[in-house]
Amino acid sequence: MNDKCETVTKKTVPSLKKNTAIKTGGNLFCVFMLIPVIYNFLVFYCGVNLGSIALAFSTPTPDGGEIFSLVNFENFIKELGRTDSAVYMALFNTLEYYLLGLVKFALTSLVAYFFYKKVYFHKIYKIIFFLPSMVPGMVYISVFKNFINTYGPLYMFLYNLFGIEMQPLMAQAETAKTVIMFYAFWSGFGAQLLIQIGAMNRIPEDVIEAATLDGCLGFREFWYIVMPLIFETIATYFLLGIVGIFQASGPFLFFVGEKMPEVHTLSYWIFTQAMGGKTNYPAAIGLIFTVIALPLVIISRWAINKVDTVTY
Amino acid sequence: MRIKSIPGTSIPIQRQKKRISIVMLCASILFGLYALSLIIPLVWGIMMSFQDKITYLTDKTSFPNPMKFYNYVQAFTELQAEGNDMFAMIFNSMWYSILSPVISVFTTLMASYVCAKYKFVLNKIVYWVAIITMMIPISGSLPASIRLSQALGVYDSPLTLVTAIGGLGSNFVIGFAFFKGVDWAYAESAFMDGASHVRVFFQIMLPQAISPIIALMLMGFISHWNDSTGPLIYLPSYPTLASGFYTYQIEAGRDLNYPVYFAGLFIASIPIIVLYISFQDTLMNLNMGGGLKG
Repeated sequence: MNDKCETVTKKTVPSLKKNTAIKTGGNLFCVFMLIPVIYNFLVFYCGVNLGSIALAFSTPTPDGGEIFSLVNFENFIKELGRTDSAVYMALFNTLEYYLLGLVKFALTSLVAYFFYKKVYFHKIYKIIFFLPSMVPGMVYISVFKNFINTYGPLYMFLYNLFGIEMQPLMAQAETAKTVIMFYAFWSGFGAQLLIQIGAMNRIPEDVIEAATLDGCLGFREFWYIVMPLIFETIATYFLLGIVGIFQASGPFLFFVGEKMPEVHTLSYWIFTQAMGGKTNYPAAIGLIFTVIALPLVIISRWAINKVDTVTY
Repeated sequence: MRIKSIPGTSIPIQRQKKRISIVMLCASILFGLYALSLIIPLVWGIMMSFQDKITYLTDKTSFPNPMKFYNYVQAFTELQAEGNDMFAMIFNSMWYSILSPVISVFTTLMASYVCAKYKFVLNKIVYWVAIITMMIPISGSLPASIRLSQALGVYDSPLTLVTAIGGLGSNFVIGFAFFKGVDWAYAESAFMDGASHVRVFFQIMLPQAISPIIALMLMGFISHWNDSTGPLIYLPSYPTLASGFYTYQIEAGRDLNYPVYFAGLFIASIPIIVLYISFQDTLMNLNMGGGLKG
């Protein structure tokens, strides 16, 4: 690597070769421009994560200090063996949310294809489908929660039409979890949909025309032409999904606040613990799942790179 | 020669096209029902924001009669969190949602610009650090992050904005991809005319990047405006609308005045709706392509 700071096209500007002032200025300029990200990386990435590791391997002492300890990891092993423990339930919920995310991702591809093929009223649908990503979550969730509540419009609709008296859905953890998962699925096409439509719109028209002339239409076109051509975009988001596998979460704050640990995911459980001033045990849980997820990311990236992609 | 039937089947293309039209019609109807399901709760919420408090408790489905427009005035005084009324929450939301993305996007673009356009010993390191850190699945660093903020003296203070400085994330990848595609000829001409590197960056390169800058800042503004957890954790004494409304509903408990609360929620949505309508195309065309593969 060249250790001199110079513009990449310097070769095309002979007058710059002899201009040492530009070179020196360039070096200083590069350093100046990189200072903020280097600062951010060292303090808020390395600093935070090293601090997190230190927290994971320590436990508070009665005098307010901290000593080295493996007790957090021992507690994790104990808790994992109990199906009623908060960590066990949170892990189970996290994986459920992750799977839900995968299903939604697949469905988004299909929905994006219909938009790409300009389904009737696609312009207005595109705006409406993106609405839940735009309108603050607190608005949608607060309204939705009251909409499905006892004596709310959904309750009255079911009662008047079928005589069904709907139970309060947010009162029990089991039904609350179903409601939150339904909400996460129902309200969340947003950005993914736009990105996939954008990727499909970049497919050269002549490729699609040639496929049509060869009789490749409908689902065959979607599966054999469109999906391979947008594979890079899908792979990127799939990989980011693996990176965030243990950070998968739902809109809990406005649904249940810090109550009902039965419905929390790992990341939300860590949030509630941190809000309650607990630091060491959540840090240890975070470290464990980081270590578990890392090989998954490496294997996924390796597998994705093995796939031949089409460039156009 | 044109093919008259789908290869491998005996289905004529015309029949297949007719089938596709039917599928498109069915999809359109399904999408319509889904769109309705997204709109109806919002319309109901807007309707209830004009309802009387007592009537709302007994009847949540009938149209407000008379419509109580005063709820929208009452929201500014009644909705309080940690002693802050709605004016204070709007002020906190404004500085938090404007300054965070401005600081973040600008400092990230500084790095992505030199990484894309200059040969320098640190550039490749910064680029790979950006890519690798995006792929390390870090969980549970929140407690350490809170402790660091407290140690730096930026916890529960507007100084917390310092944490927004130039992170290496998707903004870096988008900025890098953009500057890679920018023609260097303008900069070369400016250098030959005696312009400095700083001047080239500010007067030639940044104006060309105005479109991604607007898109990134808009996305940043929207995500910060809608962010409830960030201010709840790091700015407990400076509630924004998103975190303040959460605190309000917890504090109010059973005495929550729902119509006024809904009115406050819809007031809080106005800036986002205005931005969405004004910059719809910009927002809908931002993407980061296949930045992590390879």
